[in-house]
Amino acid sequence: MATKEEFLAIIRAALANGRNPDAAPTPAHTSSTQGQGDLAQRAANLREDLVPKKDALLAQLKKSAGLQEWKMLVVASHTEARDAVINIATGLNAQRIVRTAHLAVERLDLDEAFWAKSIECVLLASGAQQPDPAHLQEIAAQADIGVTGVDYLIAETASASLVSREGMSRMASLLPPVHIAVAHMDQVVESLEDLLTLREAELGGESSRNWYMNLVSGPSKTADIEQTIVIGVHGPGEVHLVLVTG
Amino acid sequence: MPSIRTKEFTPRATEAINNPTIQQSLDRLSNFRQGRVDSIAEFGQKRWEEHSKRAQEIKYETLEHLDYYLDMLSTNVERAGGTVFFAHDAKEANDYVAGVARAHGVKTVIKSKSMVSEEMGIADVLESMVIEPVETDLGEYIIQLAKEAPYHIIAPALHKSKEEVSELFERILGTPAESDIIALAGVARRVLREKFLQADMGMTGANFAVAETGTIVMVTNEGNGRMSSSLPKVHIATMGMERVIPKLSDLSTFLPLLTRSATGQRITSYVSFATGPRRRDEEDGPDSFHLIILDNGRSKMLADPQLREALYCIRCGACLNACPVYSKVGGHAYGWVYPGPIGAVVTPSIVGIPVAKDLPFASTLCGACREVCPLNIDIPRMLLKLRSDATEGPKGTRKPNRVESMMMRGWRLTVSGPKIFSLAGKVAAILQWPLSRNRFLRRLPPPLSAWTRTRDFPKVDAKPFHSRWAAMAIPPQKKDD
Amino acid sequence: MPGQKVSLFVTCLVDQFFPEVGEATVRLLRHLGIEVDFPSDQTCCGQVALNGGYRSHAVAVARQFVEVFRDSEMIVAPSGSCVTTVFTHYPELLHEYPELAEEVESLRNRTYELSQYLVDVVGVESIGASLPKPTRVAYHDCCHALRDLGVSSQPRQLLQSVEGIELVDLTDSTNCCGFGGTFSVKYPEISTAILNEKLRNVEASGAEILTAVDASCLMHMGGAMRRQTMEARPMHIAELLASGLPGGANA
Repeated sequence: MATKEEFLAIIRAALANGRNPDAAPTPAHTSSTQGQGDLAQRAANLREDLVPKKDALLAQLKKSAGLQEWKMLVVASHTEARDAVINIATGLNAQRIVRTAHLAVERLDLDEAFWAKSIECVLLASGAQQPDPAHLQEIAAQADIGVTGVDYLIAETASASLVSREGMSRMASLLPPVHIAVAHMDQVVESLEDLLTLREAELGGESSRNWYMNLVSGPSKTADIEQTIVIGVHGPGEVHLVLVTG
Repeated sequence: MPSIRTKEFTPRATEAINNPTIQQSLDRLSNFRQGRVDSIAEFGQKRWEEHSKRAQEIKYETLEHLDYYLDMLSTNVERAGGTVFFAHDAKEANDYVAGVARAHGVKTVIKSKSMVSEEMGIADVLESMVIEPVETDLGEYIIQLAKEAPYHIIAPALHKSKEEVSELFERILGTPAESDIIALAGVARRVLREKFLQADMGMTGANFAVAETGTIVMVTNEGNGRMSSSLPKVHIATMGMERVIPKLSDLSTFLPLLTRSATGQRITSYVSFATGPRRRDEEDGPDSFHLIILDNGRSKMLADPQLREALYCIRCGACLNACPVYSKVGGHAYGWVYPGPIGAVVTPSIVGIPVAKDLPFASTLCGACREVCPLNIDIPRMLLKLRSDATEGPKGTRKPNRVESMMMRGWRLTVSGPKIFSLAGKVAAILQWPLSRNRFLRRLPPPLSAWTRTRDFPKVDAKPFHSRWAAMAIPPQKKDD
Repeated sequence: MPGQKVSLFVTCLVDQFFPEVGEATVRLLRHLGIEVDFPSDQTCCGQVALNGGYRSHAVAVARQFVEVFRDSEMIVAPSGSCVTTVFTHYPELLHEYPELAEEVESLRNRTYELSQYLVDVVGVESIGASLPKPTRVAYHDCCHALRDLGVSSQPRQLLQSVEGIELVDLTDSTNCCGFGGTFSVKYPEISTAILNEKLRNVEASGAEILTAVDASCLMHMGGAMRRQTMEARPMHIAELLASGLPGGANA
């Protein structure tokens, strides 16, 4: 059975051929903790740089969302966003909705609004004291729609990033056949590089040691049979992006 | 390790060439080719070249210090609460998985696409323990039912027509015949959804593993990778040791190179980042996370300065799509886990040249693979190196052909000087005379009969160029001189 | 262009099997005012040994080649694959002879495929030729010339400069023809399958002549074109261009 030391020793031996044993990895690739202050500055600069680009980003996002097969709606306020979500649900004859506790979703007061339409809408969360993932899976698997917020939106590729946290179950955007992502214009960045910079800046510190993030860039799909695209195998086949500008 | 059928290259290649369904399926590779071209055009050629160059630099740096980065990766996975297992070979990796499965009383394992897990042959091991392994990537699921090896790195069931898939489902799942592809995919979705929800363990691959954060990255379109890494209580990720990249930000360099080269997508539907098991405050996710880092012969490639470049591969499959040979013989002829040009380098390097001798030779060295490779891996150069090992290499890599060696010695003599070269030509001109009166020969004795089965062969000219030079040496006088 | 002088590297295949290609090459160069000599000790560049994995043979032949052409200031060959052997592979083949390093570096930078030499070095824009009758020509991109030497626009430019040549579109002209040297004999079914796809494209192009820079690929494609009694016929680019010169290809 290989130990780490034995394994790495084999690699060192493999590399010894022609290698300078004193050569350390170049500074650009050493651990990021050294550059943490630097990173925080870069992140701040990035956020600042994004402010004047809002219109261009929105245009870019609309274009890529279309190409990536999101159904996208731009609304001015949270009220409009709420109405948009409700309309999508009623249009699909949805009976059961699950949602996360993202701020953008909380602001919509969906539970009440859906209840008024006799549509069940529950927060997909167990409560920190008694985690019950199996139960959440069951509920989510039976839901018609999952409504989540996003952490960021990448304009270039129409990618919504979702980090799994308390109140933000991984299942909400995965198990139901329809996913509605509610986002705010302030969350839009230009590229994956931007997102990773901001993410890296947020990661500093013990508490962020382990994390699970998904970039969702459209409906689930496969082309494994005769290269014919089929959507909705195995994740949501219909994805909506409701973007609040106000 | 899965069975090695590399010795059957020629008969399986011929079978594929003569199978119209396979040829039709392989014609569809043009979709991948065009998708890649369009996608790079959209990205911008200059920007693409910058990404490619940067990726090569990162790979060079990482492999030069592979021990350092694997150490960092392992440390960070463990700090995040995961467990790392370094496996010398497939057997050690399988034993580890078996141990984890036993410890957790696992009955069903859902698997999302991992070529490394194919290398391990873990499915057979699990089955022997009466544990059900279920491939959840649609293509992988199809070939699992068919008990076949993957046909292509990105599209494992590329060779199957929808009729064949329907027949497979009818036979094994008992579902009614289906001619509609959407309906067929729907069958798989239903069956696999049940498995997703009941599985005790999920196994995934890792397209990239970030040393700096201890994160594995899964690039998928279906969502089965997300399911496999989020639903069951145990998550085991398997990776080849060369998949480590130093920093999270390096992903913005590699990701577009992978998705645009593989399927012509600007990004896949999902890119999932898993760092250790779930946090205490997360709603869901696996309670335990294991990362298996596999060598299985990669250290041998690392040690060989001429083969190290093969470890730059990000498994996009573009070389398969560009290869004139793969486009005719398909994936099974290559006899092991990795088909196509990269397979022709990796397979003999791992299983040994004598067993897989056809692979480096069954290439025209056209260079199309190198041309489309996002990391610019010089596959033809490595094929030449493997050919040289096969012919003149040390014992263990060598598998010479005695007749051919003799012919080459004869050739060497023939070209050793102008007089003997001229003489050889004269001899050939005489010997070929009885074969035909025409300029071209329709039949030659073996081994050249392989040529004349489908092609005419020219005769050696009675007056070769060097014998004509004397008359040409002085240019014809110009009229007005 | 007065003053230019080249040594012809005729290649073993052209020498023994297609000497008329060598003659056409010389005629073409002389027509453009280039002086040609022929180092008569030449035999082969060693490509077949290299491709077969017989590296030690390839090394010996390469060393020989270096000596044969040591005094040649400029070397031109009617072949992309042979020039590629020198240009791409000689440095690695001969790296165990550091005393030859400088010479090899010089050699690889003064060895050219014919069309590459004419367009890139001499600056030829037009051959100043015309065919006796209009002819539809398809150009196949030989792999080594294309991908190792970057030869693509040069032959096309020369062809298009000939009055009477109509360069037709050849679908997937950059796809390999399936020759690959001994591959064509070791894996004949695969070679033929790839070849047949190429020939279907040639047929579809409506070409009367299929041309390329390598006699080896043309030998392979032409051998099947003959066997299948196709309308189109193969012709090396040197021959085709020279056929448009006063007096035809073989004056």
